[in-house]
Amino acid sequence: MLNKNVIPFFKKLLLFIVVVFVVDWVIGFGLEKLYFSLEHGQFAQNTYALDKASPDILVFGSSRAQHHYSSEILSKKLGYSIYNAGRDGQFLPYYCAVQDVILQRKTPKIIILDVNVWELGPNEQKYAKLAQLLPYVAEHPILKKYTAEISEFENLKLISKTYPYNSTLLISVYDHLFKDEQPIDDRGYFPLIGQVSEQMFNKYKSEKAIYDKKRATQNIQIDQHAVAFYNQFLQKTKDLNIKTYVIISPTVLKEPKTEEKLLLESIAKKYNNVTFLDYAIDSNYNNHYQLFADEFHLNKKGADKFSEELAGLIK
Amino acid sequence: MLLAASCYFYMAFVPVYILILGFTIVVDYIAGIYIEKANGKKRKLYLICSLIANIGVLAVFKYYNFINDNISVLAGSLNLQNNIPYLKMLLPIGLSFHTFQAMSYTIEVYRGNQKAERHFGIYSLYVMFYPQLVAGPIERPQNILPQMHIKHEFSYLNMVEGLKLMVWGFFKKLVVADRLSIYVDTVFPNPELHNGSTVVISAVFFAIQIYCDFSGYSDIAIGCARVMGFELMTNFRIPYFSKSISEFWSKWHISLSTWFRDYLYIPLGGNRVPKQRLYLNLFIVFMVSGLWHGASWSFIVWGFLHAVYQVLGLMLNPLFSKFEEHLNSLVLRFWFFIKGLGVFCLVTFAWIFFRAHTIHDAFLMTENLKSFGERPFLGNGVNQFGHCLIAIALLFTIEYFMAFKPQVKLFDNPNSLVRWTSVIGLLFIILIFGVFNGGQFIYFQF
Repeated sequence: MLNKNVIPFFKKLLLFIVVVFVVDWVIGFGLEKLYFSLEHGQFAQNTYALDKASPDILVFGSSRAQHHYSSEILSKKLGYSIYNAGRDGQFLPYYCAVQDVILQRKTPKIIILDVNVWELGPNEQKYAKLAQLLPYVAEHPILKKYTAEISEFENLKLISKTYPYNSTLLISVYDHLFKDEQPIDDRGYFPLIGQVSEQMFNKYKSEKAIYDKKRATQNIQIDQHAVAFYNQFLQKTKDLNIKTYVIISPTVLKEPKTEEKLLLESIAKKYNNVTFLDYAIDSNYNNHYQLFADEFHLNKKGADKFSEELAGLIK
Repeated sequence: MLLAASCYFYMAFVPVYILILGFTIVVDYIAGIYIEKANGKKRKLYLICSLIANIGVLAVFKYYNFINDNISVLAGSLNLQNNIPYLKMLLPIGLSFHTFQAMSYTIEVYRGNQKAERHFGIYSLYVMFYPQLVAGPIERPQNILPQMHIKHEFSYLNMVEGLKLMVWGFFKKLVVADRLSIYVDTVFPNPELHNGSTVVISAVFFAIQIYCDFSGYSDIAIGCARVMGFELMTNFRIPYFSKSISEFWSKWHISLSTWFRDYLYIPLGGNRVPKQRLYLNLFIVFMVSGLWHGASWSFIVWGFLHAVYQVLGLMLNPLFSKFEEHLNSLVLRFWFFIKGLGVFCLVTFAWIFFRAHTIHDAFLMTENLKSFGERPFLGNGVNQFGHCLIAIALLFTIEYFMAFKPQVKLFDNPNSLVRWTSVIGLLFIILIFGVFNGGQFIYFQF
């Protein structure tokens, strides 16, 4: 015989599920409105890149892309419109996703892909960070194949209206409250102000020496999945006959020849539409800490110098 | 059915490792019966056989490579070569947990506190019960075996309370532990790149991460068992609000600390020995506890530090008690706050050794503490760091009320509107602020 508590329990459980669905829809709707009404900041840039951008020159990469390629200089020197889709802390899977969406709209004349020396190395966050694409899946179903990389059941979780906006509330509120204090981007490009001091440079140097020595002894596993994304990105540019530059942009300290770095170069050289440029070993930048805002990024002065040089080379 | 579910759960990781579990189950099942039947020396012999089998499994699968490493270092210092091959295999998941639970069974049978279990299926379930199989709580047979003999009726109260506890566990794991792990996992693998301020932040974050990761798992396990009608022992009691290291250990990983108390500390003489011997016993217990966590010198140093803290605590306790007698209630409350903060700092310092990849990394991090005050690394943007702070604030606010204002009831409020709002609110906090990257539980590796 059925326990007398079973039916009341399941009745309440059903009611609970209904309430959760309603609350989910209400909260999700509010978060969606908040997110898509942003005019500045990273989320607004994501929205622009995925929903509107259709320039002649497209820049992809992480924060190093975002801070190193002056839109004004490149656009003026090359005579083309430009958009910098570089995003802080992102990796190849994200660049591929954004490339897929934008290339559905427009085929650019030039693509610049800024890669980091650690791009093909292991990093658990590489795929987790694709969560930034979740708010756009409804509008761009092509993104589902990328969001599926986050976890096995990621697309199933999109049943929830709140879930796509997971971890966005804080920054959405911040960007709304401090919208006048947000640095204004120039077509996706953000120049960095400030300069590394000699003392800081020496500190970076000693830390990097220890780090490189340690890395040299470690057996770093190449992330074959990231290699596949890298090939996918370049193959797409080849299929559409887009002139493409794969660039390791300047670094304040010379980067050693690691397996990851050599692989980035050898794969890029397999594609005849691709030019590979390595500025991480360029003595015009290495050790010139006055051109850098921090350990990883050029400042405005450095970005201007680099963009001028790059524009001259592309032209 | 529960046994089949437990087998499936364990085999979802590395299926073949169920054979290891099967081996200890068969050995301890038989040993239990023989111990009960035997008298005198034979009884002890059967117990020793069982303990050797259990510790032998641990030694082979968990400590073999560590011992081999140390032999290599020793041989190297004598200009000799160590040719003993290394074992290339993954550590069976939760090995230390189920081995200790199995050992507690034969010891209790030997002591006459528990009758030997004749039903092989029930004994197997005692070792393999899936909610606590891979990360505890490490149960005692007296608590859990009788529950496995009775039929569990559907209970509305058990269902609701169990599910609420699971939601609280998921909050700790997804909102706090997995959020903090993003920062911690960036800093600890590369200690040479980070200054003292960053080391302090990452150590504090790890202290909170490991608490939420492990106690979160315990809450989920206890809640899951409760849903099925089983009562598992409490494993954590808000340990970071402790005013002394000994209080901390009475609230942290209770099932393990009481295991060591009952099966190692007391047999060594417990408190009823001269002071020097007592201190030695504490060092033995805590260093073995360190080794239980992992086969590495950094875990042993972690245990050693806790033993030092305990001994210092015992020495200072009479002084503190005298001092506290002279304080009025307001100053006393402030003094307890300072003591609590001190305990947190000491525990956090020891966590550096627990989390660091190698003992060398741990010492490098402690050396980097000298540069405390420099601008810290804030992770991948203010968004990430801000979420960490929100998570910590939410955790400590809720736990403060649980510890000091138990009359403020949210999840157990008699008013159903408050109760429902609290539970649904917590669910949506998880949905909005949680990290859903499938992060593994830290203690699964032990």
